[in-house]
Amino acid sequence: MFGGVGSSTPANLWQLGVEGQAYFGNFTAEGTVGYVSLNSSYFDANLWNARIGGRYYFTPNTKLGLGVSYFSVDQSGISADAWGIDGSLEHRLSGTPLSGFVKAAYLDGDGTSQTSALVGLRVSLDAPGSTLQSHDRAVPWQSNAGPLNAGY
Amino acid sequence: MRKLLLTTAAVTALSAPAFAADLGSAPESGGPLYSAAPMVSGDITGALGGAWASYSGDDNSNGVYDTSARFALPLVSGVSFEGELLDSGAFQNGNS
Repeated sequence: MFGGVGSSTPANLWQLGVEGQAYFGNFTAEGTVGYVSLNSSYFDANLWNARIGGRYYFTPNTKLGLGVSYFSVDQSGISADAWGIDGSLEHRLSGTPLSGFVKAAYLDGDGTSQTSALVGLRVSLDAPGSTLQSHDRAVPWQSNAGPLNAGY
Repeated sequence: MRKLLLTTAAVTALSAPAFAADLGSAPESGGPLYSAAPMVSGDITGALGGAWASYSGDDNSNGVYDTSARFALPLVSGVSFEGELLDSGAFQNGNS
Protein backbone atom coordinates (compact mmCIF):
# COMPACT_ATOMS: atom_id res chain seq x y z
CA MET A 1 0.00 0.00 0.00
CA PHE A 2 1.31 3.45 -0.78
CA GLY A 3 0.32 7.04 -0.20
CA GLY A 4 1.82 10.43 -0.59
CA VAL A 5 1.46 14.14 -0.97
CA GLY A 6 3.10 16.48 -3.39
CA SER A 7 3.11 19.90 -4.89
CA SER A 8 3.78 21.08 -8.40
CA THR A 9 2.85 24.26 -10.17
CA PRO A 10 -0.01 25.02 -10.21
CA ALA A 11 -1.57 22.23 -8.13
CA ASN A 12 -1.11 20.31 -4.93
CA LEU A 13 -1.85 16.62 -4.93
CA TRP A 14 -2.21 13.63 -2.70
CA GLN A 15 -2.45 10.01 -3.68
CA LEU A 16 -3.31 6.68 -2.16
CA GLY A 17 -3.18 3.22 -3.61
CA VAL A 18 -2.43 -0.46 -3.41
CA GLU A 19 0.36 -2.29 -5.19
CA GLY A 20 1.22 -5.94 -5.50
CA GLN A 21 3.90 -8.10 -7.04
CA ALA A 22 4.19 -11.84 -7.57
CA TYR A 23 7.49 -13.52 -8.40
CA PHE A 24 7.72 -16.48 -10.81
CA GLY A 25 11.40 -17.12 -11.35
CA ASN A 26 12.53 -14.74 -14.11
CA PHE A 27 9.07 -13.18 -14.37
CA THR A 28 7.51 -10.61 -12.07
CA ALA A 29 3.81 -9.81 -12.32
CA GLU A 30 2.66 -6.52 -10.86
CA GLY A 31 -0.50 -4.55 -10.37
CA THR A 32 -1.37 -1.13 -9.01
CA VAL A 33 -4.61 0.67 -8.23
CA GLY A 34 -4.33 4.29 -7.16
CA TYR A 35 -6.25 7.47 -6.60
CA VAL A 36 -4.88 10.97 -7.11
CA SER A 37 -6.51 14.22 -6.06
CA LEU A 38 -5.28 17.48 -7.60
CA ASN A 39 -6.29 20.77 -6.07
CA SER A 40 -5.47 24.30 -7.10
CA SER A 41 -7.06 27.72 -7.24
CA TYR A 42 -7.76 27.10 -10.95
CA PHE A 43 -9.20 23.59 -10.94
CA ASP A 44 -9.82 20.42 -8.98
CA ALA A 45 -9.35 17.00 -10.48
CA ASN A 46 -9.66 13.41 -9.30
CA LEU A 47 -7.95 10.58 -11.08
CA TRP A 48 -8.25 6.81 -10.75
CA ASN A 49 -5.47 4.74 -12.22
CA ALA A 50 -5.06 0.99 -12.57
CA ARG A 51 -2.11 -0.78 -14.15
CA ILE A 52 -1.17 -4.38 -14.67
CA GLY A 53 2.20 -5.33 -16.02
CA GLY A 54 5.06 -7.73 -16.04
CA ARG A 55 8.83 -7.75 -16.05
CA TYR A 56 10.82 -10.53 -17.67
CA TYR A 57 14.50 -10.87 -16.79
CA PHE A 58 16.48 -12.38 -19.65
CA THR A 59 19.40 -12.30 -17.23
CA PRO A 60 19.49 -10.92 -13.67
CA ASN A 61 20.74 -7.65 -15.19
CA THR A 62 18.54 -7.36 -18.29
CA LYS A 63 14.80 -6.92 -18.18
CA LEU A 64 11.87 -6.23 -20.47
CA GLY A 65 8.86 -4.51 -18.94
CA LEU A 66 5.35 -4.23 -20.37
CA GLY A 67 2.20 -2.73 -18.91
CA VAL A 68 -1.38 -1.73 -19.62
CA SER A 69 -2.99 1.18 -17.78
CA TYR A 70 -6.44 2.65 -17.38
CA PHE A 71 -7.17 6.20 -16.27
CA SER A 72 -10.42 7.82 -15.26
CA VAL A 73 -10.28 11.58 -14.74
CA ASP A 74 -12.96 13.83 -13.32
CA GLN A 75 -12.08 17.50 -13.62
CA SER A 76 -14.60 20.08 -12.51
CA GLY A 77 -17.49 17.76 -13.32
CA ILE A 78 -16.15 16.66 -16.72
CA SER A 79 -15.14 13.01 -16.93
CA ALA A 80 -12.74 11.34 -19.32
CA ASP A 81 -11.31 7.87 -19.69
CA ALA A 82 -8.02 6.85 -21.22
CA TRP A 83 -6.02 3.69 -21.90
CA GLY A 84 -2.30 3.40 -22.07
CA ILE A 85 0.41 0.90 -22.85
CA ASP A 86 4.05 1.14 -21.86
CA GLY A 87 7.20 -0.81 -22.46
CA SER A 88 10.80 -0.63 -21.33
CA LEU A 89 14.12 -2.37 -21.77
CA GLU A 90 16.82 -1.94 -19.13
CA HIS A 91 20.30 -3.33 -18.68
CA ARG A 92 22.55 -2.98 -15.65
CA LEU A 93 26.30 -3.23 -16.06
CA SER A 94 27.32 -6.24 -14.01
CA GLY A 95 29.13 -5.38 -10.81
CA THR A 96 28.32 -1.68 -11.08
CA PRO A 97 25.45 0.53 -9.90
CA LEU A 98 24.87 1.84 -13.43
CA SER A 99 22.10 0.86 -15.77
CA GLY A 100 20.67 2.30 -18.95
CA PHE A 101 17.17 2.03 -20.27
CA VAL A 102 14.81 2.99 -23.06
CA LYS A 103 11.11 3.20 -22.56
CA ALA A 104 8.04 4.27 -24.47
CA ALA A 105 4.40 4.82 -23.70
CA TYR A 106 1.19 5.45 -25.58
CA LEU A 107 -1.99 6.97 -24.17
CA ASP A 108 -5.31 7.28 -25.94
CA GLY A 109 -8.67 8.60 -24.81
CA ASP A 110 -11.47 10.99 -25.69
CA GLY A 111 -9.89 12.47 -28.79
CA THR A 112 -6.45 12.78 -27.27
CA SER A 113 -3.45 10.62 -27.86
CA GLN A 114 0.14 10.89 -26.74
CA THR A 115 3.24 8.94 -27.56
CA SER A 116 6.42 9.36 -25.58
CA ALA A 117 9.85 7.81 -25.74
CA LEU A 118 12.83 8.36 -23.45
CA VAL A 119 16.33 7.11 -22.92
CA GLY A 120 17.92 7.34 -19.50
CA LEU A 121 20.44 6.32 -16.89
CA ARG A 122 19.87 4.93 -13.41
CA VAL A 123 22.30 4.82 -10.49
CA SER A 124 21.30 2.17 -7.98
CA LEU A 125 22.25 2.47 -4.33
CA ASP A 126 22.27 -1.04 -2.93
CA ALA A 127 24.46 -3.82 -1.59
CA PRO A 128 27.57 -4.87 -3.48
CA GLY A 129 26.82 -7.69 -5.91
CA SER A 130 23.23 -6.60 -6.39
CA THR A 131 21.59 -7.12 -9.75
CA LEU A 132 18.82 -5.33 -11.55
CA GLN A 133 16.42 -8.07 -10.46
CA SER A 134 17.41 -7.95 -6.80
CA HIS A 135 17.24 -4.16 -6.84
CA ASP A 136 13.74 -4.19 -8.30
CA ARG A 137 12.64 -6.47 -5.49
CA ALA A 138 14.26 -4.25 -2.87
CA VAL A 139 12.68 -1.09 -4.29
CA PRO A 140 9.49 -2.33 -5.95
CA TRP A 141 7.29 0.72 -6.19
CA GLN A 142 7.49 3.32 -8.89
CA SER A 143 4.70 5.82 -9.35
CA ASN A 144 2.85 6.07 -12.63
CA ALA A 145 3.19 9.84 -12.76
CA GLY A 146 5.36 11.45 -15.38
CA PRO A 147 5.29 11.76 -19.15
CA LEU A 148 7.07 8.45 -19.67
CA ASN A 149 4.71 6.23 -17.77
CA ALA A 150 1.69 5.14 -19.77
CA GLY A 151 1.88 8.49 -21.46
CA TYR A 152 0.55 10.30 -18.45
CA MET B 1 36.18 -6.42 43.61
CA ARG B 2 38.56 -8.82 41.93
CA LYS B 3 35.68 -11.11 41.10
CA LEU B 4 33.79 -8.21 39.57
CA LEU B 5 36.80 -7.27 37.43
CA LEU B 6 37.21 -10.84 36.23
CA THR B 7 33.54 -11.08 35.43
CA THR B 8 33.67 -7.81 33.52
CA ALA B 9 36.74 -8.95 31.61
CA ALA B 10 35.13 -12.29 30.80
CA VAL B 11 31.95 -10.68 29.57
CA THR B 12 33.95 -8.23 27.48
CA ALA B 13 36.05 -11.04 26.03
CA LEU B 14 32.98 -13.10 25.20
CA SER B 15 31.03 -10.25 23.72
CA ALA B 16 33.84 -8.72 21.72
CA PRO B 17 33.92 -11.37 18.95
CA ALA B 18 30.15 -11.16 18.51
CA PHE B 19 30.33 -7.40 18.37
CA ALA B 20 33.13 -7.56 15.85
CA ALA B 21 31.25 -10.07 13.74
CA ASP B 22 28.25 -7.81 13.76
CA LEU B 23 30.23 -4.84 12.54
CA GLY B 24 32.45 -6.76 10.21
CA SER B 25 36.14 -7.40 10.38
CA ALA B 26 38.93 -5.08 9.54
CA PRO B 27 40.04 -5.43 5.92
CA GLU B 28 43.24 -7.27 5.28
CA SER B 29 45.96 -5.37 3.57
CA GLY B 30 45.06 -5.18 -0.09
CA GLY B 31 41.70 -6.82 0.48
CA PRO B 32 38.28 -5.37 -0.20
CA LEU B 33 36.94 -2.78 2.19
CA TYR B 34 34.23 -3.95 4.53
CA SER B 35 30.76 -2.84 3.58
CA ALA B 36 27.68 -3.86 5.45
CA ALA B 37 24.43 -4.59 3.65
CA PRO B 38 22.69 -1.22 3.55
CA MET B 39 19.47 -0.74 5.43
CA VAL B 40 18.20 1.54 2.70
CA SER B 41 18.14 0.78 -1.00
CA GLY B 42 17.29 3.27 -3.67
CA ASP B 43 18.16 4.75 -6.99
CA ILE B 44 18.50 8.00 -8.89
CA THR B 45 17.19 8.16 -12.44
CA GLY B 46 17.38 10.70 -15.21
CA ALA B 47 15.96 10.46 -18.73
CA LEU B 48 15.47 12.61 -21.81
CA GLY B 49 13.18 12.13 -24.74
CA GLY B 50 10.20 13.37 -26.65
CA ALA B 51 6.43 13.33 -26.43
CA TRP B 52 4.09 13.69 -29.38
CA ALA B 53 0.49 14.51 -28.62
CA SER B 54 -2.60 14.95 -30.75
CA TYR B 55 -5.70 16.69 -29.46
CA SER B 56 -8.69 16.99 -31.80
CA GLY B 57 -6.44 17.31 -34.83
CA ASP B 58 -3.90 19.66 -33.26
CA ASP B 59 -0.49 18.10 -33.05
CA ASN B 60 2.04 19.06 -30.45
CA SER B 61 5.55 17.84 -29.82
CA ASN B 62 7.72 18.37 -26.78
CA GLY B 63 11.12 17.55 -25.56
CA VAL B 64 10.63 16.00 -22.15
CA TYR B 65 12.70 15.07 -19.14
CA ASP B 66 11.96 12.68 -16.34
CA THR B 67 13.94 12.49 -13.12
CA SER B 68 13.31 10.61 -9.90
CA ALA B 69 14.94 9.54 -6.67
CA ARG B 70 13.55 6.52 -4.83
CA PHE B 71 14.34 4.72 -1.63
CA ALA B 72 12.98 1.79 0.35
CA LEU B 73 13.55 1.26 4.06
CA PRO B 74 12.67 -2.25 5.27
CA LEU B 75 10.76 -2.03 8.56
CA VAL B 76 9.70 -5.57 9.35
CA SER B 77 9.39 -8.70 7.24
CA GLY B 78 7.27 -7.88 4.20
CA VAL B 79 6.81 -4.23 5.14
CA SER B 80 8.95 -1.37 3.95
CA PHE B 81 8.70 2.39 3.83
CA GLU B 82 9.19 3.67 0.31
CA GLY B 83 9.60 7.18 -0.94
CA GLU B 84 9.90 8.82 -4.32
CA LEU B 85 10.74 12.34 -5.37
CA LEU B 86 10.16 13.06 -9.02
CA ASP B 87 10.19 15.87 -11.47
CA SER B 88 9.00 15.62 -15.06
CA GLY B 89 8.30 18.22 -17.65
CA ALA B 90 8.70 19.61 -21.11
CA PHE B 91 11.57 21.83 -22.14
CA GLN B 92 10.66 22.53 -25.75
CA ASN B 93 7.40 23.12 -27.54
CA GLY B 94 6.41 22.65 -31.12
CA ASN B 95 2.98 22.91 -32.71
CA SER B 96 1.75 21.93 -36.13
